Amino acid sequence: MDSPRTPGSFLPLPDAELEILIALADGEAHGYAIMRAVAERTEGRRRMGPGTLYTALKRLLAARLIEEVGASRDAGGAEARRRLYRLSHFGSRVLEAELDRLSTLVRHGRRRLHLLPSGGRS
Amino acid sequence: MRRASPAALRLSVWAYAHLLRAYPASFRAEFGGEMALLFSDCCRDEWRSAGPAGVCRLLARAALDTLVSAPPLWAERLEETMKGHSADRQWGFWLADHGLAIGGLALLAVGAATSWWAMSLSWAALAIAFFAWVAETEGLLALPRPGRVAIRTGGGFDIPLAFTVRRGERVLFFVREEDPERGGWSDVYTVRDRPKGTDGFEPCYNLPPATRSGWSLRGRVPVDDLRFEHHERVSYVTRGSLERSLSAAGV
Repeated sequence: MDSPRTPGSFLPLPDAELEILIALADGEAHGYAIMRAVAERTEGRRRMGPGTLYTALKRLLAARLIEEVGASRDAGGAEARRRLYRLSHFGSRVLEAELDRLSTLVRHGRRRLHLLPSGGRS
Repeated sequence: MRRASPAALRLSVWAYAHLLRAYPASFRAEFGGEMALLFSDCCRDEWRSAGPAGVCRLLARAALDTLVSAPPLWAERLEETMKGHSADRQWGFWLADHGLAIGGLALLAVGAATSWWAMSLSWAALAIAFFAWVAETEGLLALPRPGRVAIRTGGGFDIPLAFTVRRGERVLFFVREEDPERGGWSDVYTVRDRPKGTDGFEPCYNLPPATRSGWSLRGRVPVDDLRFEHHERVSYVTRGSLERSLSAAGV
């Protein structure tokens, strides 16, 4: 069941939550994989701590922007304690709305700096 | 690349496990295991890439991360406390009792704020006073330490109409306002118990004698739960009549 809130009501997304949604955009992942994905995407400039990561995951789960899909298994096949998360359908709509908002912001900013001709696209 | 030292890893994870205590218990129960596991993985990575210095930096970052991420969770917890009657409440009482004094100190600190630390202190005190104010206006607050339940009443209309206390918890009533006709507000509850193995609540007359601070239920009452119902919803007993019943029952 989708959240009764509209995607626009979640905007702007806090940085940590946006990073997590982007990390989950191409498939399910556990906390450690999300953290690595964020560090790799930002070339190590953004290092999300466990507290920041899991408080953001808690909020995203509560808002139903992401959902749990079970637990991962380690190399030996034993059940690990890592839960896997994935973007929900509603979460992908929120992410899309946020990316639209950011791209509009960037376009307007570039235009104000005369980096784009009036009416141009980024 | 270095081989990860099991002893160093264990020590780091042990330290982080203690840092996790800064988070509310419910959050730790849900995510604490995963957070410790994630930290352990990070430790291994740091050890391999940067050695002991990297692990020390990781611990410092984790401590900072905890300082930043734990307070909002406690704030959420406090907000939930204001709305419900659950037993997982920690700071409400203290804040409500000291809110005015803290607010006064905050004003003094603001007046004396001629340096950055005085300014920081005044902001911290103002934040605490704000939470105290929020708590006070809700009327019900409270508590706790594990295994204790306290109900505080800040005004007649804010008293919880009914709440349940589980076996092993301790009940404390704190009266702020007197009802001239019926006595203290803490008197106006019907106390019911749910004997073990049954579904329904029945009037309860076998409470142990009230102490100065309330009734201690720890292991002394043969019930599963006790339910306190406000007189506006049901008939009530006063403390006097309850104590007479207790006395008549030889308790």
